[in-house]
Amino acid sequence: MEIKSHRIYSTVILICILSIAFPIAALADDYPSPTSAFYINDFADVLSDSTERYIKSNAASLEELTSAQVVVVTINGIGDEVLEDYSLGLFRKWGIGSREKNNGVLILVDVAGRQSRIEVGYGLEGALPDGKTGRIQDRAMIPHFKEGDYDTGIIEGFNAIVNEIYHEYGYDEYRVGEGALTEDLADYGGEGEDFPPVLILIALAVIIPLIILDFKLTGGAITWSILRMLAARGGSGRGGGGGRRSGGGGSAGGGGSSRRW
Amino acid sequence: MKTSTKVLIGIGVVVLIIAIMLISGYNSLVTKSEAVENALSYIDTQLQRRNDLIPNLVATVKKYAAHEEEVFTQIAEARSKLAGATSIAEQAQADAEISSALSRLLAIAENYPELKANENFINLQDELAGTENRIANARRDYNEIARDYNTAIRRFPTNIYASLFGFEKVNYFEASDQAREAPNVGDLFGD
Repeated sequence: MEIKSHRIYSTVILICILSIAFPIAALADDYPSPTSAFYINDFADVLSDSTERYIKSNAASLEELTSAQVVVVTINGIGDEVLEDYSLGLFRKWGIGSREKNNGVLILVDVAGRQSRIEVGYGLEGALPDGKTGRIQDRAMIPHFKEGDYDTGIIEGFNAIVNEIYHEYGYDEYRVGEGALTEDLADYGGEGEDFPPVLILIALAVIIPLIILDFKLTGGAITWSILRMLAARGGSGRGGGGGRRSGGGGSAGGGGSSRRW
Repeated sequence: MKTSTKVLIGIGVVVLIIAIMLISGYNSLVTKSEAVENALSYIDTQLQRRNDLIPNLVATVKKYAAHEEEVFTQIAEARSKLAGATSIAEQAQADAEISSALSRLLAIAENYPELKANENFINLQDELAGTENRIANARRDYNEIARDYNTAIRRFPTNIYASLFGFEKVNYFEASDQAREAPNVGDLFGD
């Protein structure tokens, strides 16, 4: 009797797992998976090793400081797909940018198709409006792509975008390369946001008594488990010091610009 | 424990479970309904933004292509149609006319190299293409959110009290020609 019910249970569980797994597998579209470096994906194999290292290390620094993710993808053709649809689909599938801030940017270069797109996440549409990304492509990228120099084109485009993001978050001192389109910086009036000190004091006044109460009643169990949860969230974003990186779960709505050459 | 007490406790537990299910079902409908509202208002924001781009675009093109009267008139008519639209259907119709008039405007710009090279025009082109793209995606996203909501209010047992609480089915955006305008506008670059 016991053996029979075990088999029934495991069959039921197996059916449940399969019925969930199949629909999920069906959702997976025809997009490539990111490389373990995540920020640089030279599927078209047009970039030098030093370019790849440059992108990787600067994109990692950007994410450490601002949680923003800039991802470069080169590819040889996207089939019949419309560039804008393919780009957005890839962006969302990889979850570029952090989930909370949606601060991701995808630089997609279709080498065989001679088209490129900068796809901007919801959270960066203010820092990188469509017109600006178009100018970045026109000035920093397309002229080089026309000559087959993908290394320079991508590095300069990447630099411009990274610098805009640093500026947006108030980290101007971390600018890379030659700098962004400096004439556009005059448009920005906004400063970085400051945490009003009053808010911090009030927050502490509430949190500290709660922590004391917790330690008295439960020996600090709640405090420790909250701390552990926070540490886990912080750790997953950084991927364990040079290990595998992945998308932060950010999304985009279709902002950006496309170019052909 | 007396049998009647046990029965009462049993009934109490069942009632509690049902209440919890009802509450969480209701809250889930509220969340989904809000998501639908958000998605709709996001679409409206993008439509408004496109509308705001138009005068600037028209002015820039006029500087170089003043005698292309026909297309300017088309745009003006489509815009006033949109302003005067009273129903969703009229809005959709006016919106489609604006989209096609804009495509025509950008196509005409192809004949004027100075206009094509004008930085302001390029900027507006990018902004317009970006906005059209956002509108198309926003409508697609809305349809998914709407489907999620419509399915939820039809599911058992939520369907029993869904209409009681005022949760009605919402409409989808039809896949019309305007949804395909975005790639067309993009195709006008280069080449």
